[in-house]
Amino acid sequence: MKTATRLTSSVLMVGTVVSAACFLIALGLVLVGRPQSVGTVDPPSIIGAVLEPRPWGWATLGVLTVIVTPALGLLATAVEFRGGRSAWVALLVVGILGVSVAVALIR
Amino acid sequence: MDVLFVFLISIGAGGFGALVGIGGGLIIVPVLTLLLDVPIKTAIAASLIGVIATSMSATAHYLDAGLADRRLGLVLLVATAAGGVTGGLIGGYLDPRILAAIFGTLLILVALQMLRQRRSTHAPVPPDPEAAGFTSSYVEPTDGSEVSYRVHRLPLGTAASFVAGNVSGLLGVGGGVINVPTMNVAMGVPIRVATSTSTYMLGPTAAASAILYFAAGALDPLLAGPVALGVFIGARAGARLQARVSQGTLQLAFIGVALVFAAQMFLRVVTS
Repeated sequence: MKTATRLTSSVLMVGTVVSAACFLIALGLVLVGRPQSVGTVDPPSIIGAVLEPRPWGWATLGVLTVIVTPALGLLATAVEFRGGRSAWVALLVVGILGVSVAVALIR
Repeated sequence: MDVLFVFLISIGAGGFGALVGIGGGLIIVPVLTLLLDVPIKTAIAASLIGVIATSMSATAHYLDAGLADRRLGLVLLVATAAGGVTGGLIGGYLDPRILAAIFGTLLILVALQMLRQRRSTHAPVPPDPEAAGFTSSYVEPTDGSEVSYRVHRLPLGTAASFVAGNVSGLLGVGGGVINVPTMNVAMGVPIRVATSTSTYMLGPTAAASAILYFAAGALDPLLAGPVALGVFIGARAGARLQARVSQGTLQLAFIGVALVFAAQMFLRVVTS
């Protein structure tokens, strides 16, 4: 039985477009001479740098989008396989990514 | 550092990596480290973002085309993602000189493997009728025929995937250099499906390690952004050009470049 893939591929495509747009804006800001100062990685600092706008803010937004998208893709896969064993395997992989986040926060 | 220069170099690295079929990571990490003096952990973290971005875009295409075996990919992903976490953790603690030495060794191994492939063709290992496995199929895009295959030796594939995840997290390269031959030669997966499924697995695997590098402060978004964008654009262009250029010449060029990079990596280990 062939499972639908549209939701997963849509999530991955949106993530690709959004992150590419963020990186392009960051590159454009560098080219027009906006300051390349770096901020701390916390939501207020990132939002501030995005609104200012500074290249670091947009590049960080792009990086976060890239990191989050595979997990969202796996959640979409779990929805597509709902009720089946593969859905639980997809959620298990999301759990492993969660472990990585937990380890990163603890360190 | 000139962001535009990094972007342009990353296009070249992504394009060359796609043309040779090894991904951009094996090229971009030594280029950033040796040519631009970027610390190796920062180069690895930037490369991981490029690996995820390339995987996201290519996977969307492979899923729509029905070429990625998600059932198999998900099972192996449990191992690669776990490997990605341990690889990212170990990478964070290792001395940069040891990382450079491991990277140099990987470059030599991939170059030797490519040299061996040029001389001989590997026939897939025949399926073991006693072994557990499952059957699957895909539609061959060149002639529209449905091709059935039986996946076998899942435990071996799972072990190899864990190693591939570790290599990816430790060195910032896609695990395809391990995953694709394992799936194709040992597990009976057709090469087209093996390549697509490996690409499907790369995104979550690299994400598991990228999180750790990001939290450790090794990920510089102003470097990772142009690298990801450049590798992504270069990989797409390289994939389109692949059919038009001689693979033999490209592979020889890669072998030469890989050996020079490896020598420089080892030189850096000795002199730093």
